[in-house]
Amino acid sequence: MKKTVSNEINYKDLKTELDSILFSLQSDTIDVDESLIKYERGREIINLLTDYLKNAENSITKINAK
Amino acid sequence: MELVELSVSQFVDSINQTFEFAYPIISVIGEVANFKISKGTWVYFDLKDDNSSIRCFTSVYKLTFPVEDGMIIKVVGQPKLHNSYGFSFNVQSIQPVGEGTIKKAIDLLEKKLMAEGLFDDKRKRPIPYPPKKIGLITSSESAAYADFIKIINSRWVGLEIVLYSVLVQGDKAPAEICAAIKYFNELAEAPEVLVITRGGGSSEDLWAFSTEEVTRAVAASRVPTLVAIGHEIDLSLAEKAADKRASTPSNAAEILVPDKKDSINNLAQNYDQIQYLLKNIFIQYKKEISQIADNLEKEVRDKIQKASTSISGNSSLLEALNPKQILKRGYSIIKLNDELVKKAGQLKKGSALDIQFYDSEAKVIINELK
Repeated sequence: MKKTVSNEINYKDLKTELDSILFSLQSDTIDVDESLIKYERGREIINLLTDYLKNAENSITKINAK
Repeated sequence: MELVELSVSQFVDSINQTFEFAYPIISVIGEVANFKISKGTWVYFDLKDDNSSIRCFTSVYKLTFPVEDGMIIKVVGQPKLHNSYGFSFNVQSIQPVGEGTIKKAIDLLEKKLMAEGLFDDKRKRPIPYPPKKIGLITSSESAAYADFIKIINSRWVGLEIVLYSVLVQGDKAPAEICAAIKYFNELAEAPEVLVITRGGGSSEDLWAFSTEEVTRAVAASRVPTLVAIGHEIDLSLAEKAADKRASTPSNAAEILVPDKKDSINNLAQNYDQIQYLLKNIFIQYKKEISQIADNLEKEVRDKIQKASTSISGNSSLLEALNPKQILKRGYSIIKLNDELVKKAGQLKKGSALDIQFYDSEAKVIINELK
């Protein structure tokens, strides 16, 4: 039985955060300081997710009918 | 040989013991005739072929589909000699046999369940994409299971898959499938989706997925369901009751999760995109700062210009007020001992005066005062 190696990663939440960062960076009102913070966080998320997709595995457990 | 003498009851008991020994459980196939339900509970019908007919007895709770005269069915149960009513076959389970009967049974059941709204589109719920935890109901020995796992492992990661292995055909399959659905629904941490799947087969092999109990269990599942039975032409009723259906076990895996290769490519594009966006933000701010600098310079220039104009005005006024300019017009300044002489009373005979003209000066002595 395989075990997941990256259970701590919540793909959906991080992807949602990344989409929100991309949206913010397209906004006309974002200031330079904020854009730099968001840019760094976006890069961090992309690295985390790419690493996760390349290295994590699925876990399978089996139950037999009684 | 001595003849055995028995009472009627002893004879009935003896025959039943013989039946139990010879046929503890047996299945018989035949055509239904004289089907009737008594008092809404008891079911009587004959099962016949070209030469013979037997009386069958069961309860409505054992009917997994609407039975009609002329259907070919397989009954599983025990033969029994009743002490008052004679021979009957006590039916434990019934299955339709042959494509024609199965199709008829499915059509009748579909009509009934459709009237109850089990297949309505408005009942369909979305399936989380991608789900984190999957409850998988299939046979662990099947190709369907192997296909599903192979495709899902090649496409996505981080999934928690719990397989509940069941029989996917035969008499016991419906009960096992229903037990599996119940098991997942009662878990404290239920999966986000139930995948119920098997590969293709004959209409008899696939019958379990069109039984009333399985169809109702799928429709009643609190956990959203994805049903994939490996055939394309006629859908099973479980597929119609499911929130979503897939054509094959592999297709179910494709529907459930994205392809990680696409996602990795998308992330690489996201990387380029945020760099581009940040660059644009900086270009925009640079433009704004440059604009501000230009405005500032213009403001300062304007102020200097204004000040310069003002000073120039002052200068002209000052020039106009310059006493020397008045001397040009023929006036003179007379001083006595460096003091301006403004009235004659300041003078006396012999006073030495300094007279300043526009272009020169002169010293004079007063000879006479008038």
